Amino acid sequence: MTTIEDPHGTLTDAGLAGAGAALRTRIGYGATVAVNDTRAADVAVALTGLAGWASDVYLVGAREVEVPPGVVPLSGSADATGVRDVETRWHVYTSGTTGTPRAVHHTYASLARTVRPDAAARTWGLMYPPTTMAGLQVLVHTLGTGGRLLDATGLSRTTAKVAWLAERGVEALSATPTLWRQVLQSPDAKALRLRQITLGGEIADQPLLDALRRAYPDARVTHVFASTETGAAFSVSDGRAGFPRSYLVDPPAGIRLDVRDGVLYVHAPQASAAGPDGYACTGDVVEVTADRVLYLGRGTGVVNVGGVKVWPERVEAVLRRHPSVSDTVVLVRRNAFSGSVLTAQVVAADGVDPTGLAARLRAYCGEHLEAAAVPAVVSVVPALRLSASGKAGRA
Amino acid sequence: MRPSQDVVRELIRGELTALLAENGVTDIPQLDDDDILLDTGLDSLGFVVLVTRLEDALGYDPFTEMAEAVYPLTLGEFVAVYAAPSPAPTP
Repeated sequence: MTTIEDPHGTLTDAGLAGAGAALRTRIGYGATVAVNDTRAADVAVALTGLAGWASDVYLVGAREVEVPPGVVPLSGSADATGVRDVETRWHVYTSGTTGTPRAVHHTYASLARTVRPDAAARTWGLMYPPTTMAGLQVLVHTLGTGGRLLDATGLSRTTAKVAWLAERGVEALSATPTLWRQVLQSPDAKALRLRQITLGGEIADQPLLDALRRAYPDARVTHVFASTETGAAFSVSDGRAGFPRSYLVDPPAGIRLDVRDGVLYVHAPQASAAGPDGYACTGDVVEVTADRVLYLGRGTGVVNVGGVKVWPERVEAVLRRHPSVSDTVVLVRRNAFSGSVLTAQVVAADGVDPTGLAARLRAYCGEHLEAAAVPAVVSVVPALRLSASGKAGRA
Repeated sequence: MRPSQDVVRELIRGELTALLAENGVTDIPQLDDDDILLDTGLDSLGFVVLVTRLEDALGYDPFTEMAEAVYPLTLGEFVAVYAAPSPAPTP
């Protein structure tokens, strides 16, 4: 019995069906629709009401993007287009590395790839906007398992989201590692009774996985590797960062993986990003050890500082080990002498005096990293800027 | 409008001194206009860090704005790069 709740109200199964039917009286068969709505309830109506009805649905949300002409909003009307046997294409926007959102289209089957109908129907919290790939995964999962969805996306601060979710009895939550670190720092974190913790969108490092296990000993901790280009791929629940090397030979959930020149590829022939052999490049650079494949960072993220290759992610990992650091993001800046140079923004841990912290952290980096990887500037900031999908910004 | 030569010089000397101290240089030189930059105790990466910090302080990096690369030898030449008028936008 699917229900979708947010601070403004609850949508039930019956309400969902009714709204979907009403939608189909206004929007004709074969039409093209843009979903500009940001509430999970409204996106859910679009998903269930337009599946197998509209020919193309653009899941725009709050983004400022141009949609093709002739596209109607969810609240609008359109005549039937005379197209027969519609197979609805769902257009999902990625943030892209250039910052300009681009749409990748999916079938409902590829969106619902990771949903196991026999999975326990839980109360899931939603922290990702429902028109992001990550948010859609949670929404589609709820619809497919008849679960209860708590849409916290309308609340602006992470602390408010955590408080509301705790009060509503959330059991399962999917968020980026950056958001999870904020959850752990929220006053109501201890009030969460989590049974399922899912991480995705950024590298889930071992210290965070350990911290989550300590904070929520009854929860299963899963980190998901998924790319918007290919749809959700596979997950790891063994409490260790990266994934088992055996996945390269034994496809997890049937998803074939390959490592080519240190970059991870996924077999997804229906994805628009797939090459002629059906494999799509994920852009993630990995290291293959004896029993594990570990994520090093985004391929586009490796930076050349004076001829030395450095990984912003590695520098972030070093900084996070310092007890005075709550979280950090390492940014890249062009430099005429070295090509690029790194700078770091750091959020100080609770109760830490920021005076002199930047210099101490820079010295700390010097002790643990090669000189080129030490950020030129360390700034102590009150908070990190997050993208709509909860990732710490590195534009 | 760039800051004056004197303002730029004092800022650069201040940042350079702070950076050298951070790098553990105990015998920080006088930093006169005639001093050779690379003899001040700053290595090539240190130079990169200095330029980055000056960009944060001043809001511009004259080296990335240049059409033709200039490699200042002395502190005085370095100051001059920062005090020079910004290049006209290319048509």
